Amino acid sequence: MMKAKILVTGAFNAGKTTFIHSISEIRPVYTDKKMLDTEELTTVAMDFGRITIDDDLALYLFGTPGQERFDFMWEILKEDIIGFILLLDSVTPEIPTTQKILDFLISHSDVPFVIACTKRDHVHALPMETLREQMKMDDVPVIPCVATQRDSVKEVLLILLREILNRFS
Amino acid sequence: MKELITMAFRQVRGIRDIFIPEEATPVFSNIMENLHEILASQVADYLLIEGEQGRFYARFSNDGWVGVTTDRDVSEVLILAALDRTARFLDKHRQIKQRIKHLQHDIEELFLMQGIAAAVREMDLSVGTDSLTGTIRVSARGGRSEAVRDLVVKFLDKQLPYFIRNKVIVVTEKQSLFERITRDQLVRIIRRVERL
Repeated sequence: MMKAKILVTGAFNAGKTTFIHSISEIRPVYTDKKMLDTEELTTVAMDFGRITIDDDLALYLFGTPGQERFDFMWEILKEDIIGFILLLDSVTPEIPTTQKILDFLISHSDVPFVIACTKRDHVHALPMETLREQMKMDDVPVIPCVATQRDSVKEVLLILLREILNRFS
Repeated sequence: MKELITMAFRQVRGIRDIFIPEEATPVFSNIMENLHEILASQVADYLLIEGEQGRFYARFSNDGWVGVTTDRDVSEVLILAALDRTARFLDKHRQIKQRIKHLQHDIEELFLMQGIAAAVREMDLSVGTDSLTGTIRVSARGGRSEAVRDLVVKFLDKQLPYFIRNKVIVVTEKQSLFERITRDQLVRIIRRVERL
């Protein structure tokens, strides 16, 4: 079976696990652990989701761990991807960390990507224009997203897939 | 080619000269071709010309021939055995040259059979007297480079007779986006996601 792989990445608490959970047809494989200080869950290895296309083709979504001390996983997870989705928290955008992840992936891979600004349903979400300016990416789609909503996640995924398709034309 | 033949003759003492079509003068080659025609009509592979001081032996095989001049007293049995061996070497050598033309297809078929996502990007090989040299560029999925390289090297080793050494450099490169997925597969994914 041919497995197309897309990476879902972003800073800590950007919503990567939720994003994959919303669209995956299987119960995602979580590798979340409670943090000692806050009791919040955080991903320590990777999240994994799947969308079966047909008998010989499947789309796999891999989520990177958010915390920087697990950044060695980026190296492994970026292999053979056809594109990646960079999630940016609209409420508390971790611009330096997000930029660091982006720089790493751009320097190690030439695949298309999109930036999805998550938590757009939150009252304190920053305006899209502000986030777009902070990321300083003019030629990359910056898309509003609510990771808990399947349709919103689907839209982000479709925009990325069409970006990849554009490379073929 | 001479090194290859010398290898076949290394047990025989008293060899003065070795002749092969590629290295013989055109006049000599023409004479040999004419003699070959005569031999063919007699259904024979060997030719022996004896003089006062020396002997000349020739062995014909397929479209080629190899000949040696020796001292008068060198064992004929050894000479004929060495000529037989040389003919086999030359045949094998010719086969390898033919096989190299289809090697890219054979390697890609091997990847397919083993279920490995890899492809031959470029191949530039040449068969020398005693070695196969050149470069094969293979694209493979990340993390599989070493395994793919080993597989190709072992495959080449198996194709070659013992007297032709495998000196091919196998370079593995990462697959490009277009090798990881086809346009058709991408369109199928998009249609499926749209229906979610």
